[in-house]
Amino acid sequence: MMAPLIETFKTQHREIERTLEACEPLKDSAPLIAKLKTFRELVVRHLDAKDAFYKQLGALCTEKNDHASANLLRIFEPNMSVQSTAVKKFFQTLDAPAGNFVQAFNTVAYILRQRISTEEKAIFPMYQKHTP
Amino acid sequence: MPLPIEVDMSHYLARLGGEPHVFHCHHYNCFLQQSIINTSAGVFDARTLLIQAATDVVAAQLKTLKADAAMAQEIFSVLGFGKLELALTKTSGTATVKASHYALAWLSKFGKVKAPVCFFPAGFVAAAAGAVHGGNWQAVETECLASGGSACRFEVKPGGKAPGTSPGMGALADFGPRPPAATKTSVDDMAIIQACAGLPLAGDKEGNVHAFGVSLTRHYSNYYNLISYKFDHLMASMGGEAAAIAARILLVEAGHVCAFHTFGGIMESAEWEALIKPQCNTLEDWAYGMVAVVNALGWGRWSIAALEPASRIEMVIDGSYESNGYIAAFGKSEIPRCHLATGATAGLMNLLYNADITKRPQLTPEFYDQTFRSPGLFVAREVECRTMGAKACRVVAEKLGA
Repeated sequence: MMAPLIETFKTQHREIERTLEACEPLKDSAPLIAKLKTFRELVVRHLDAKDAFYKQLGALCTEKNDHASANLLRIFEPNMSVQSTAVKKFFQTLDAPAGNFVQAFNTVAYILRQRISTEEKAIFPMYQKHTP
Repeated sequence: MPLPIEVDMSHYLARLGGEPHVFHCHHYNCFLQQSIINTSAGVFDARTLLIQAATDVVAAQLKTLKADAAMAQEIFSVLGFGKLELALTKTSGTATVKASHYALAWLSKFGKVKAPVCFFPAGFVAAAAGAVHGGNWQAVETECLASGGSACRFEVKPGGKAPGTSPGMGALADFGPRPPAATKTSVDDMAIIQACAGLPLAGDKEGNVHAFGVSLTRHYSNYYNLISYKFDHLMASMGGEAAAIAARILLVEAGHVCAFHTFGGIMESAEWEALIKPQCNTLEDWAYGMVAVVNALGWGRWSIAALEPASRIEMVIDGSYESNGYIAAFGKSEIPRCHLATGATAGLMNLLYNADITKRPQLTPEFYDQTFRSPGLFVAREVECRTMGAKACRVVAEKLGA
């Protein structure tokens, strides 16, 4: 059985993926920004929850003497934190977007997808292992 | 005794005794070694991996060169690893390294440590003993500068594993014509490459190469390839998916470290000031200038295929040393493998547009964190790789966030 927290994250992942898919054909800034604004709250909330999750997971692995996972999380956590800050900053600029906005969105979309894939393949199983 | 290091400008690499060599600095060497050791803790024995990889590549080279002890010592010193003295008989021996690159670098970056850190030199010594007396040898570091010794000393004795196969020059690429510069530039890259090739970058009397504010080595490409890819493979097979992804994050991060210190050091050096800066009118010219220098490092042929100021770069790498070695040693890959090139491309853009290297900032650990951990950093991905069947490797770095 999937832990409720992981289930919530995975549900949000699917929603993020659906929205990215809907956004990617938009090649003009205005409709893209309009669509992203409807999506902003979910992404920011999701990333805030993930920032807290990584800290919680690190503590959990240490508590359970899972040193291998704790060691790996010391690599993942700062990377994910940097990504999280940068993506949230991107969403903050929706009200005053920069000139290369569509390209900036494509980079953000790539990072979000890569992160989702990494978390579902590599990070969530660490949590599941210690959460019956 | 002059060493026959050949510069092959048709492949943008340097070779000695059938082994390709590349310049890398002490920051990269230490970061890579530390990452492999720390991350593999409890998964596999990284020290053995590091030593054996050194033995594999050095043994192949010394055999090709029919090297004796004197030549082995000379190679070690010229390449920037320190001053090696071998005292070998047919049944045992010792070796001493003064001013060991790895030990001094470790001390300067991480401070004094409890255990020895000269794994590459240990592998080199074992290979040298095999070249001199035949058979398999092992070398154990018994005293290390980094852990408080007066020099780095090794006990050498017969035994251990036979050297493995080195990928040698690897799967060399056929180069097409060089793509034209993506944007207008006043940089004369061929003049820069030729000038860099003339710089005195061989070990001094202590066997160290001090240049661009770093300690350089003209290291074995295949050492990097073997330790990096075996690290990745072992983490995947013994630690699972998370371990493999973490390993790749670190290998790319090592590229950031390399760019920050080596590219940064070069762009703040007197040589840059004298030779390259006068050709640069824009920040983008700095990018072209740095890529010209990279093309003298033995890393393959780098070309900027697209450049949008402060936003995006697309780097095409023909015959990257990583792909040459990977294909020869491991065959085709399902994922991109040029981790150093990926990290270094992102690093170049971060240095130019986030760190403003033109203002000559101090390249401190705090400034590294500020540069690579701030929103608006450049992130890179390898979108095509020779190891996956592409003709060349292509890395795109883009600003993350607005």
